[in-house]
Amino acid sequence: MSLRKKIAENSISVTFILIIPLVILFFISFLIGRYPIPPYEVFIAIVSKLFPINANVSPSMNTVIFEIRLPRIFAAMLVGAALSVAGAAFQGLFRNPLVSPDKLGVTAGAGFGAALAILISAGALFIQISALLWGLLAVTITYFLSRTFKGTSMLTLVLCGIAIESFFGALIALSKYVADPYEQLPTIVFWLMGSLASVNIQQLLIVSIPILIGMTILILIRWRLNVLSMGEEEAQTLGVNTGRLQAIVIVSCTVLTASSVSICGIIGWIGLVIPHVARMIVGPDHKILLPVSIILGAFFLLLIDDISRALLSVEIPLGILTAIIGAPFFIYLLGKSKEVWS
Amino acid sequence: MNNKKIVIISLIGIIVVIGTLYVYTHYNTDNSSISEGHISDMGGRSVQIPPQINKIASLSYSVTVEIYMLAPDKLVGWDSNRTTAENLYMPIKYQNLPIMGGGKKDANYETYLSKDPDVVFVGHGGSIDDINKLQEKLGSVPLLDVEGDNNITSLPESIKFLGTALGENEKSIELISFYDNVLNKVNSTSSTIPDTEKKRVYYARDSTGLMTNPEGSTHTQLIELSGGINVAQVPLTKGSIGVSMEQILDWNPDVIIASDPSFYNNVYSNPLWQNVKAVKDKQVYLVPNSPFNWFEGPPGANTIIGIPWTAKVLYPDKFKDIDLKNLTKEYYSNFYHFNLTDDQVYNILSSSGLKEF
Repeated sequence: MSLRKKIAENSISVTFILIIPLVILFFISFLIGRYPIPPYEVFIAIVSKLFPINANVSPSMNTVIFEIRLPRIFAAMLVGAALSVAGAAFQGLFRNPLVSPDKLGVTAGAGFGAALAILISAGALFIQISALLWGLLAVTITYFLSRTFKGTSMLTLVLCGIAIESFFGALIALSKYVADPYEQLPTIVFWLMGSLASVNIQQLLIVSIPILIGMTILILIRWRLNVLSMGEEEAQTLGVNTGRLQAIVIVSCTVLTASSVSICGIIGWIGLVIPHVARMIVGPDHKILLPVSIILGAFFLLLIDDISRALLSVEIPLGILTAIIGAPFFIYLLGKSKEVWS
Repeated sequence: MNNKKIVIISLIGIIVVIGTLYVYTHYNTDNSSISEGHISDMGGRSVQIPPQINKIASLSYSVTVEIYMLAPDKLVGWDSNRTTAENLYMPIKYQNLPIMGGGKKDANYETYLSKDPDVVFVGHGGSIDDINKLQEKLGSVPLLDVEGDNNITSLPESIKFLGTALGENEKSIELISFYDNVLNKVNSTSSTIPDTEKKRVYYARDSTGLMTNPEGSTHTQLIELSGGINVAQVPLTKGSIGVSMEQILDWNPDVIIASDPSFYNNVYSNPLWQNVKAVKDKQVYLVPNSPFNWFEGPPGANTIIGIPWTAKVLYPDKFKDIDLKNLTKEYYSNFYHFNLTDDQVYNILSSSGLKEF
């Protein structure tokens, strides 16, 4: 425990230390892939982009490094960070380590939005936008549904969320059922399993704006999450407008999750596992928990995506990998961690 | 003692009888012969069928296509949805046939029965038990199993069987001889191409182009048949697989065959695909899709016309002797019951990306 206290006191330096492996992995990721490029060539190509030196880089290599690997690397880090920080904030908001933004229906809503777009044979960009909007819509429905009941509590919100989630889950199943089994169905199934294979710079830019805004908001209000996680009444006596704060957190987390899902499909476990790992390292203080979740989430999904795109000649769907690696890891953590909630 | 002996002997007798029946029903795959109203289907089941067959239904897409080719007026409905694009080259009266919702597992048997078919067909791959279970659901309507309907190499057997069962022998012989003709034409040339000169082909599915079917899948048989090599050689799976853009650049195929119009329309302007050899050489082709897909989607008798098409796509110079325009016309009027105008043939072939046909 004393170690964790020490860590908490030196939050800045801990964050700094954790960034180092992320930076290393970031550079290594440029060297990993199915298209064989010698590391030296990658180095030359990147340097020649930054400085006006005359390098002989083939157009194919340029495409691979800057059009394929670069967007994917940034997308993986962005999505991993977004899902993790949203998970951490949600767990704090609900004071429950098992809640993740999916529980309000955002993932199922986005999945349905994507399936719907695939059904009408839309292009990749439209699929992404449709997923984003339906994800947001699903949570909006959940939120206003829960507001109609008297004595609104967070529990009501989650219960409504579970209902909306299963409702959209049924709509996804329905769209699979009516899809053309030879063309659209495999596409829907692949999308739902999660992949960053078709990410391009344009798509990345579209989602990076809401993701960066959402993250910034959560980082700015992170100390208030500490107040919230004491409980609503205590927070109110301290003069915090809990209702408004809860709304801000829910909206931010939903935007983060919907944006992530819209670009890469449904990726589970990250929002659940990474905040736990972060809590084990630095304890429950949100002031440091959120930045650390961001770093760890970016690291974890980048690692998973590197495996997904380079291990076999086939893309391994991300959702499968995160669950296969995430679930045992989570169980291992449960064994290791004594209560780190207090 | 005696009682025991009698019991044992009778038990042995029963076992022998049951065993013989079992062997008889499971190994009697003596293909399709009609005798006294009984036909033995391709699963080896002996089924009684009515003397006059006027209404036919099918639970499987590839069999539906074959029925449409042999006896369109007897077909009572489609087993799956048809889009406007697919209906472009199909007579209105067949477009208007009802959608019955097929698929072995999720067919609505009441819908099937309400159409009062004389016989129902089910396609490849079911075990005898599965087929008998389906037969129970159809009650007194005879269900016949067809095999080989989804594999380009075994199509003739399935066509021949359907011809026998439907009393459309003449039409089935005509279709088989068309098949033999194009197959032999293509094979005689493609079999002489040395491995070193073979074109390397990537089959791009869906709007991203990042899904494909690997070598050995029935979905990409036409590539090997025409003397091409499928670049996706993956030991893992025969179904649809996702691949990364990087992997495609590494494979660097000579030719890309695309199933999705939106992918085809964007591929030449998409910066990621610019460095793929097929795109550089303007060797991307779009599979024609009306009234049925030419390449797969799913594989079946609909891909017979895809044999010469794929050959022309891969080796336009080697297959100069194939007159694809006339073959297409003949095939459409004889088997798709649609007389194409010269403009329509030209349209189908040129919008698939072919320069000479």
